[in-house]
Amino acid sequence: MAEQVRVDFLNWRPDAEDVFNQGLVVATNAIHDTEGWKPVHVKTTTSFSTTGGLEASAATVTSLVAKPIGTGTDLMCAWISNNTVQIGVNGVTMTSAGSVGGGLTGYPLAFATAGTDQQISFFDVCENEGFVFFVVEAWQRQASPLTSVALRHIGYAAI
Amino acid sequence: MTSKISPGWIGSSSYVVPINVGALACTTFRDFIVIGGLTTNRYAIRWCSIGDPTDWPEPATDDARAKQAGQESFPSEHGYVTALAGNDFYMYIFQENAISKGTYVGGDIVISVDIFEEDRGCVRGGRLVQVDDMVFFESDRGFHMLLNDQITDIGYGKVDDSYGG
Repeated sequence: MAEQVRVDFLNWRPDAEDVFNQGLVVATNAIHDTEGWKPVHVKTTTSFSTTGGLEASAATVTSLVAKPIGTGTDLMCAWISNNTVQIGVNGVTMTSAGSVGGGLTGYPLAFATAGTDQQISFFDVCENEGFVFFVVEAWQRQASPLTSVALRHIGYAAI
Repeated sequence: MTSKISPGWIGSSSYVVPINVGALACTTFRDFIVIGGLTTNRYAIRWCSIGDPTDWPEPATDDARAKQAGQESFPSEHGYVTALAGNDFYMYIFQENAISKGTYVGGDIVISVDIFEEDRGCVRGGRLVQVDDMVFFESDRGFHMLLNDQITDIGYGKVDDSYGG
């Protein structure tokens, strides 16, 4: 029996042909998702668009994770652009943060140093009366020394 | 408890940082926001003041006890807390190789936790989705559904053989 190779495409099925479904068989524009990959439509004129699904600039967005919120089609997103973690709804960046004793002020979160292979490692969202709450953790692997650094953030926004 | 996002909120440009700690997962349980897999203790969960997700007093303080905020650690042999799922009545805490059920009891304990599965768990963050009271997750053995404390191996056979780890 041939050795199995695990490739995580999450709910995107570029390999659907194997089970006789209509689906993509060639991955052309894929971006990293939590422990996997998802397709993205690349634009060059703006970093994000709320039309046509998630769209990202290949020049700036290196990692993107999205979770549905509410009862419609809204998405809470976390992504990395220009070495910073960005958070927003449908790709619209939240550009400021309040602080309630958390000690983390300012936005966006800036990485201390430029690095390689930065990606959103974990992202989760939940809702409560009047709030959408999120946790996000990103990792950066530095070239020298080869060190993984966890960058994390928790916050909420009023609905 | 779930609120619809109003169109007017889309494009909102501010959020609030309530707590200086990171986590791998979060969920809503009754009147609490619960986070798990803390950066300060990957085997622990922590929850906010009752009815106030903006308030996260330091656990084991008088302020926390008065507001029923707290923190609970789990056995490290079952791995990190990787995912959470909650509703108005109970919550599930997923470690890499175990699942616990939490119920609200109030008092000094606040949330009582019992492990009921010590084999299957959520293999890592982002591998769980909740649909009403059904919780679908992936363990290191395959895909499962948890409903009413019963785990069904929904991927048994071809699916787990093809996609399982």
